[in-house]
Amino acid sequence: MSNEILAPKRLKFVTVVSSAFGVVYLILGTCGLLAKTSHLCLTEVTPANVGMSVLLISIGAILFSSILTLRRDITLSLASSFVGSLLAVSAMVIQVLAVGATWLDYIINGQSFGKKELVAGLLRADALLGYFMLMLFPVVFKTVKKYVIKSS
Amino acid sequence: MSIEKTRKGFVVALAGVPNSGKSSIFNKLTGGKAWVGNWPGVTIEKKVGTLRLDSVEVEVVDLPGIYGLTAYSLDEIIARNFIVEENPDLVIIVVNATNLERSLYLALSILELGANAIVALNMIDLAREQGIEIDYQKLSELLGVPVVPTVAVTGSGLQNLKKLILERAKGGKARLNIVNYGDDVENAIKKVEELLKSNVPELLKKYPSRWISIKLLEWDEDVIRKVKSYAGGDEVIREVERIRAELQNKIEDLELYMTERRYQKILEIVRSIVRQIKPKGITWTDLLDSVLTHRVLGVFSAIAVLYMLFRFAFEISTPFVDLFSLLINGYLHDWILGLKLLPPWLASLLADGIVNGVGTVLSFLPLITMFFLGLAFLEDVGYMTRIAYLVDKVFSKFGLSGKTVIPLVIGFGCNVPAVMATRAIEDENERKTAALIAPLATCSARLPVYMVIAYAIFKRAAGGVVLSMYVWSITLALLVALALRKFVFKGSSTGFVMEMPPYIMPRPDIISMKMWERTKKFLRKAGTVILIGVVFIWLLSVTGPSGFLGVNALSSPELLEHSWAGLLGRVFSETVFKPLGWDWRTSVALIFGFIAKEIVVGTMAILYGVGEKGLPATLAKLHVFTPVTGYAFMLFVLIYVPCVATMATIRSELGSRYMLFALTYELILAYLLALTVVGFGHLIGVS
Ligand SMILES: Nc1nc2c(ncn2[C@@H]2O[C@H](COP(=O)(O)OP(=O)(O)OP(=O)(O)O)[C@@H](O)[C@H]2O)c(=O)[nH]1
Ligand SMILES: [Mg+2]
Repeated sequence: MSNEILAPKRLKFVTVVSSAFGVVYLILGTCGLLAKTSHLCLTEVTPANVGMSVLLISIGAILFSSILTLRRDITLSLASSFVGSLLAVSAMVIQVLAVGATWLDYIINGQSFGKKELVAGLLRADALLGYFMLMLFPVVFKTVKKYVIKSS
Repeated sequence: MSIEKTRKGFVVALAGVPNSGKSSIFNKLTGGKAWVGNWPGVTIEKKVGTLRLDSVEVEVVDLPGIYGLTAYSLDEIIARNFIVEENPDLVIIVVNATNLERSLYLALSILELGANAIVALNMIDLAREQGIEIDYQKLSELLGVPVVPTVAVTGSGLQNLKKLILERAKGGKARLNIVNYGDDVENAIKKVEELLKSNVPELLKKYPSRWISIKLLEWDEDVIRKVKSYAGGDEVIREVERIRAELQNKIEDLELYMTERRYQKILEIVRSIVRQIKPKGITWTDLLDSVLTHRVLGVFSAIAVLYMLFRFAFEISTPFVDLFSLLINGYLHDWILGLKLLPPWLASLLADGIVNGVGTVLSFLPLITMFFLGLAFLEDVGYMTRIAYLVDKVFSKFGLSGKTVIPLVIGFGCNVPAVMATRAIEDENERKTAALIAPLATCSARLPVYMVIAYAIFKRAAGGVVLSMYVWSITLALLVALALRKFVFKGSSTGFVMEMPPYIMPRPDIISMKMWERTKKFLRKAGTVILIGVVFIWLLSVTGPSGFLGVNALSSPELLEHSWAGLLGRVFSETVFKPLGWDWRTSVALIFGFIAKEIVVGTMAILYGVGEKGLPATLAKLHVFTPVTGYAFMLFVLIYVPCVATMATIRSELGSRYMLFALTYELILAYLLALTVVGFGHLIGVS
């Protein structure tokens, strides 16, 4: 029934794109977890950081589930895209703020803050992927909003 | 208005189902600061404020939420007793427009009691969002009392409410017979009313005979007791028993039947006043909940949300904490010491004692405020009940219901309100268990200790180490609960019944009010308890059995060891704390941390001294802790005793016996666990 509520194209787009991002989040999250043991995985983007990795995997799982539930439960599928991308954007904001905080801290302590560190912080997986999710988010939001209003 | 009127005071009670916005209305009416939050059961005791209307002074009472006049949990009993026993001059029935059935059930119960009442139809903004429009004038006709639509958070409709309060101050009558219980029961009610009139006329001066009769027919224990307390009451009860038996020939389950009649009436009312202006469908809350309360995805979401809140508070506050530390322990400290006109002892008291001691604690203010901000957000957005729902399965294995998570989360702010919040738990044994594990929730007072030690020893891994304290905190709370439920307060989880409020966008004014209220408490504590504790410790460090040691004692370790503080500390560090590898200064810190856990940091700051790089740098330089002894110390501080204020609260909620119990089990647990950590460290060769 609810299939008629939304243009199927748009719905598919949101689902496919967020699930695709979900896969990337899952891969990078796993990389972060493995970075300690396997040097293949240790990159600037995925440093060995358990917290970040767990966060990436959680977000990835939510985003990815969007495609799995599309057939069965549109509400759940859309909600996964929405919650997943909301969390992804928040994770990016927090990471950027944290980089800013570290930078301030260096100034306060009179140390010089390497440009390299700044760039590494801003290009860490949670930030980097978040920039893309920030572009996707308005689309997801609009779709969900339509869905909520139309069906309510 | 006459002075007599003002003296006598006009009492208005706010009653309503949980989470209907009573406290929000209270705050707007009285300018008070009652705690609000988006979950049922925030208010757990009555709170009184005043409202001046023209020249009338109105006493407004905020009450815990209730679903009916039969009370189960402690907070409900408080509300019920106030409405039934204290006869407020006016009851404002706060009806939740998004939850009309439940709200109206309570409204009918209160009206049946014959209370002078008005209805505040609150949260109409949320109802409108759900596509519901409510004909409040019709509702007023049907209930026979005035109805005002309100939006408590914006204050809309509250002027009308105030006007009505003034009007109804002169009195007003409620319609007692809104619900018709059918001929059989109505006849029985009449019979009982007659009985009451002839046997216990005194009782009827206080309550309407119809209400007493209905309650007797429903076999309400409380009302039975009330009737029996009058001469002639026993006879009434015997007669009622007979009437009930007679009725039960026709109606099998009388209580159920009467409840059903009420709900029928409510449905009738709802049908005639509600207009669905948009077709009913999926709301934002439904949509979000499909993920956030999902068996698997919900857990992932919770991990992400909580981890981000943690990062938000701990990482983003770092530069501000460092700045505060630099300003206080660096500049202010040195400036005072450099003041030529102060006598040396006073300069030392101010700089080494107060500025180092209290100042080091205060330098964590940015962290603590941001933590409170995160907590307020969590409370107001409506996510707390979802966490409760998610953990319910796990918690039930430990003999607790998911509800217990709410006191624990509140406990992360402060253990005192956490112990109080357990009042909302119906089952007595479960409540006691929850109150006794609440001190294990790692409160904000322990944060400075963790931060100092973690940054001194673990540097880059500090964040993870602090996070692990939260994991320990919850794990230990669950394990202790399991033990308590097995051996002391036997029983299993009573299950999870909790309404899920709609998600709302937290309002900046409410969030900042809550953040400020908690911060104020912290500041007040710093200016009183912590200040006194710190001055006392300074005194103990510059004096000893040989008298005044001179202010240099603080900078010369040999002298300091012969101070009172040194002697006291050594008694512990050379005995019980010896296996744990903590020196005498740390021991002194622990002893005084009993009063308030922030004092642990304050004491360390005085006894080790703080440079402008802050206390962690000093501790690291002096090699006070190894990773093992440091971690054991953090764990010990997490567990060892509830602070004095928490103990007092446990005492007033549960009694002295349980307070002593909490104290003892925590001390033993803390010691054993610290010992285990140190032993384990030796075993794997980390020292
Ligand atoms: N949108 C909206 N939110 C409201 C309104 N009234 C209250 N709230 C919010 O609803 C939540 C519950 O409000 P409280 O005032 O704590 O409710 P309460 O009835 O005192 O709840 P208990 O003490 O738990 O019984 C809070 O998050 C308020 O900010 C309203 O009219 N509109
Ligand atoms: Mg309240």
